[in-house]
Amino acid sequence: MIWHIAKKELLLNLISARFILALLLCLLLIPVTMIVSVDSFNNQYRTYQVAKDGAEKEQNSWRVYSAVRPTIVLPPQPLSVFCQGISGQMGHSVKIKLGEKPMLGEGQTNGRDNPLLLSFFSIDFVHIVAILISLLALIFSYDLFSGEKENGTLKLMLSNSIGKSTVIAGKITGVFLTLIPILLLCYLISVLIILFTPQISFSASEWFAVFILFLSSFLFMASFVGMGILVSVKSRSSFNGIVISLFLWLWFLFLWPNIAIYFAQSNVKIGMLDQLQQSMDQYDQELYKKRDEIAQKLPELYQYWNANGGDDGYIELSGSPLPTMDNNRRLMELFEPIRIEYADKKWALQQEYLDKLENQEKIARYLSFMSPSELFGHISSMICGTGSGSYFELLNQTRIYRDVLIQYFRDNKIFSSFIYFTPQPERSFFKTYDDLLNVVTGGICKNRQELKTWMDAHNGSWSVIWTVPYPEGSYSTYPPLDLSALPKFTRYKLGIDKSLPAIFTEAGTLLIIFILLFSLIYNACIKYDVR
Amino acid sequence: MLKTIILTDIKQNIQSLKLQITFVIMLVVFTVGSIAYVFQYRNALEDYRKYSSKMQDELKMKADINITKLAVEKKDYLFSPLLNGFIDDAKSQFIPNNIKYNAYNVYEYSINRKTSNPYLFLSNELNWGFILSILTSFAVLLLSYNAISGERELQTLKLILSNSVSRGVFLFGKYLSIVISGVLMVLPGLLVSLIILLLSGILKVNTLLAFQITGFMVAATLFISAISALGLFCSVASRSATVSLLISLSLWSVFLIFSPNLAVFAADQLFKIKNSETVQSEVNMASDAINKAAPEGSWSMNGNDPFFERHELRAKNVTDLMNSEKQIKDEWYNNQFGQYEKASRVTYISPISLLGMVSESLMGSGYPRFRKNWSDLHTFQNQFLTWFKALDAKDPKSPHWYNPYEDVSTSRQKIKFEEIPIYTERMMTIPQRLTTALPGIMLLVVYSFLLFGITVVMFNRYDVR
Repeated sequence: MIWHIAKKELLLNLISARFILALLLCLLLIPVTMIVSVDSFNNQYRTYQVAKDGAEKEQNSWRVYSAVRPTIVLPPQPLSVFCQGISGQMGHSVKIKLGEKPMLGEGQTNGRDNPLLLSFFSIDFVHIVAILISLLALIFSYDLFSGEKENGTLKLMLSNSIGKSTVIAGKITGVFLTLIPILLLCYLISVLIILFTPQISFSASEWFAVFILFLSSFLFMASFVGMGILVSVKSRSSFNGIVISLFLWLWFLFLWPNIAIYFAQSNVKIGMLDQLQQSMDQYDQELYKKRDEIAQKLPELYQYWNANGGDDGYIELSGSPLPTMDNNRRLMELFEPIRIEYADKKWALQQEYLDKLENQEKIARYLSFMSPSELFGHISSMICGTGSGSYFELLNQTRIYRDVLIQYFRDNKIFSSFIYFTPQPERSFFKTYDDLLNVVTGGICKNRQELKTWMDAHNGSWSVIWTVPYPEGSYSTYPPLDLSALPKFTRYKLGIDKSLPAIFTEAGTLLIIFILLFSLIYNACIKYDVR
Repeated sequence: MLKTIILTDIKQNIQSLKLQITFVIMLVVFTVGSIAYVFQYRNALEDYRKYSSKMQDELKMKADINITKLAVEKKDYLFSPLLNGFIDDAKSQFIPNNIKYNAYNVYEYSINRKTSNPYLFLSNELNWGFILSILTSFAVLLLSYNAISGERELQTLKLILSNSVSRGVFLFGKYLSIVISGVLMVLPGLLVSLIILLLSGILKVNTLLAFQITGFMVAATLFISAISALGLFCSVASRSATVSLLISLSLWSVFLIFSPNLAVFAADQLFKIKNSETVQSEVNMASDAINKAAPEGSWSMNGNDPFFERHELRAKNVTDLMNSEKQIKDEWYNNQFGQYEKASRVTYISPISLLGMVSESLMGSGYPRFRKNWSDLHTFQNQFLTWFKALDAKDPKSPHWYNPYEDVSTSRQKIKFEEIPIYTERMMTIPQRLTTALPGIMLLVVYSFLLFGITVVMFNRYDVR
């Protein structure tokens, strides 16, 4: 009997204007959304390829260990075409430095070359489905009972020997039977578009995630069906019913999410990243004072022949004489561990900042438990691996990798080795700077004093007297480092299995809402006045 | 007769459930939005002041070193937070608000995200523009979708029209009543919000603020009339109220959700421009060509001696490099602006986007503000360069070989901080804002007229039985 009633509902709905309009909306909105998302993903992938090639090229050019600061480039999430989450806001590359722990990624991942286009809030698949399906759920269920009552057919149906529960169950099943094909159609269109995009290929776990996404959309739809039916049963007329349902829809989908985030933002003050940077810079100044203290005790530190320097302690010397080289080695040995220590001090400040970010996000997330559409949004981002939890974990993994790398440096005593800052083999160091000048100028200038005299007399560069070539003094003589033993960053897969517990909590809440609604409906229906 | 129709309808609307629910929701959202805005604005202003004072300190430091360092060092100009964000922030979180420049060139623009939390989902601010575009438009559509088809279903339409009232007058009366009901719905919320903001003390009451608030109210009324015309059109498009509702909801969803996606789609597929990798490789190729053609010694440098002859070659080479990059990048930037503007125009089929465009212009924020700063900074950069060159000319210790990136061959005298020209943003004047907003306003008026005209034509053939 339930099936009969359900079939009647389904067939009536199929020929109604509502259904045709629903199909039209799906056919119009879903393909455009998917094409925009796929385009964005292709852009992100292209940017990723360029960044990855750049990082690899850079890695293959390092000649000394003080340059070894690997850049981890994160590939774009394929599932982000379904749910973008926060993947457009997180940077895609993380540089591992000794002097600072990575806090947030760098670089743009929004996939738009023209930054102005970011101001168009393009909506991803999950949000369009949420908006459409919830609207349709309300439209198909608002007059489930009140409509029949107004038509006078409800009392006719119940005057037969079928129980109220059968009618209720049948009608509700009918609504679900009408909505499931529409939901399926949305997913089918998107899956087809994915299959026809050559650059995106999903693995088995990703298709499984799409399936779980479909199931959660179903749960979401059910909660809105429940809401619509409850309103239908409780309101005096179907006209009132639709008005209340629509305002509920507007509230849950458009107003509450913005209110929740706005509230979270005004409650937790973060401050500008610049201020954090300033405080960290103060630590850096302290650090460099310490370096100067150590450097003062080491003579002939700066008698460079060829020198190159840069960020995070990168220093590359070649051709300098032994005293310079050895003193630099002792400087590195003493100083680099202090640099690492200071990174931990800076981390305390960074952690504070991150905690504020996390608190804001937590408040927004807890507030979102009050709206089924927000719950659905969070669940989808967790399934697709584009939620905040995934990124927190990912950056954590980069910090762990940094510790592994530092341990590797320590285990191999790299800070105390010459290879940390010079590719030149020890045996080819000149004993003193004067020896170097003597050889290189073919004996014309035997020491620094004579060179200065010559330069003052000839007012210019001394390249004319540099007659003996000195290839060991130039970087290009030396090959890049063999980094095959260097620990590599194991690709962290932002996947569904990592966030299952969190998904269960939020899905559980949806389920509870669903059960609550339907028990309320059942109670109200039993007491319903069918006249 | 017209007055009677209007008054009865307004009374009916006010007593209806729809209006009452909307009224309550609107009051809640306006209140929450205004209170939260006060905190947010204070925080944003404090952050900006700290940032500016740090920038000032850096400038002082450079001025103390030498004037060339001041000229060649790339500076960032960050836009300040605007007080009128409570009316409409014109998506200022997503429009570029940071421009890099030095005395020789304006280099690039970017979005400085240093106050936003990347872990939060993107959201809208609860300002007046947001409330109007989402809540009010929805409520007005709900008010108007059954103006005609609902009356027809209730059988009262034929009764009204059997009187000596013409169809046109009747329709016009309905239209006005919806517009007036819509405005009445919004006004109390706006007033409450204004009171909260005035009490908080963050508002500076002056002509500009009065202009912005009045302007926004005029735009809001035009917007409400456009949406009312749309709702009335949906009402006349069908004989059943339910179908009218569906049509109006679909149109609302399409306008609200679809038009941004459509704009991005149009930008990607129809208004394609070069991507950043292509541009970068063009810049690199041009640089390589210049470097190859550079005469011998263009790369020598002697930090201690500005008059080292090779510095002249170096200055020329670096200037050529800068100019070639500038030419390619400026062209690309103009293409980006064009792409964005064309994509925006695609969204103007939606009255919601039109409202956004008008409020953006009236507030002097968002994209018009960015473009104005971009061109004003170019002017300032030229003035700054002229000032620098004049000072440099007076210095006998400078060979006057202008090098845009390096401190090797121009004046090294120090300068007092008070004498440095500093860029201050000039906000758009009221006439400028009106001119920018005018196309949007006209479009809204045309929208209402056109839709109402079509509705009249359709209503004249409407079967009232």
